Amino acid sequence: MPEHEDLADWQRRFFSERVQKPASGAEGVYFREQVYGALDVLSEALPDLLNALGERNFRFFVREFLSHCQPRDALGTTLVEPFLWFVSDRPELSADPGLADLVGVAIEALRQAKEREPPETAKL
Amino acid sequence: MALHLGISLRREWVDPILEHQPPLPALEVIFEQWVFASEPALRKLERLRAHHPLLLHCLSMNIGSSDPLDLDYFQRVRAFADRFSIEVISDHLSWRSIEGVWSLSLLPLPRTEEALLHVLGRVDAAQSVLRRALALENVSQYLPVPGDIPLAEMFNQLHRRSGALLHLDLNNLLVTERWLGEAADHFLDTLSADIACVHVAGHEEVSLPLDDHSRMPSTDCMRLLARVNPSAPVILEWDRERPPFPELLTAISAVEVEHA
Repeated sequence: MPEHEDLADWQRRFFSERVQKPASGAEGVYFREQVYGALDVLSEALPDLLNALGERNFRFFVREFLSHCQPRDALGTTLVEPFLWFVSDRPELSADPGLADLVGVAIEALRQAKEREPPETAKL
Repeated sequence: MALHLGISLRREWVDPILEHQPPLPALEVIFEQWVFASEPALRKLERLRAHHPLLLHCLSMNIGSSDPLDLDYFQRVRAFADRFSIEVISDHLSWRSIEGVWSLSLLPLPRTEEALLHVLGRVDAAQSVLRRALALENVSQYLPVPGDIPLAEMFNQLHRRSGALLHLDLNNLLVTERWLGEAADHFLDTLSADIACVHVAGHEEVSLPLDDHSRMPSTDCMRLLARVNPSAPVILEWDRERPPFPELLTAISAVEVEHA
């Protein structure tokens, strides 16, 4: 690392340039790993939405979502709720009432789960 | 036939294992997949514990990050390990967050004296809470990092100066070799750290592979395993495109026969 840069500075720069920024080729490999990781978390949490959208569209939404949002907890489990809100704001949903209903149902289910469960459990 | 490969446990495999009791020598439990599990699910894990040694593998210790250590996380890990009588606890020689924003990937650490000293201090703190030696895994590395300390030497020094063990991931060595040209065999040649556990896995065979754990270990991976010949448990990781449990056992048996 450059002489003036300490570990924290380097990590800040690496994160900004290699993790948060979409890029093609080798430079984008950690961003693409983010997409794979988020796909795993979100597809297991939202199988109905995955089926309704199809894998290709689901992946597109996850990629778009990660361009705007990064997890802020260690377990990555709070991805689910912001992802649902992100999808619910997409213009594609206004053209597909069935899909909009599905997202609405998922958001409502999450809301009910959060009321029912203690906060830590609700993260999942 | 007695199996020599243990598996990294996935939730959908719990019931088949309880039902069929295959002779798996060890099960690795991912902490993040169980930390908020319901009590009935945890009781199933206790039943598994009665027949199989458990290893605890963590994803969020964030041991190489510049962010403060989350001591509450380590206390949860210790409580979990205590409940299930788990001695081997591992995470990765990597970092995942900066200023509280997290990556879903395990990010590579610079190979510098500064980074090594930083991790040594955090390993000491972690081991004080865990009350066990911590094992750290080599991660797949896709891009070069600053510094010229060889990766094996990072682990050797961590072991010598803090007692930390190596959680050796052979597939990660192979993926890193493909991306950066760092020979997996050279890593093994120069390694002196004690090994707590070994991971084997497979990845999609493309020119620059991602560590996706999407298939059985490659011939190269099993060749490295034969080189190591560890007394420590060997765990198969399979995350993407997971097969149904009976097919998994069949695949394990086949690879063990092939490489016996």
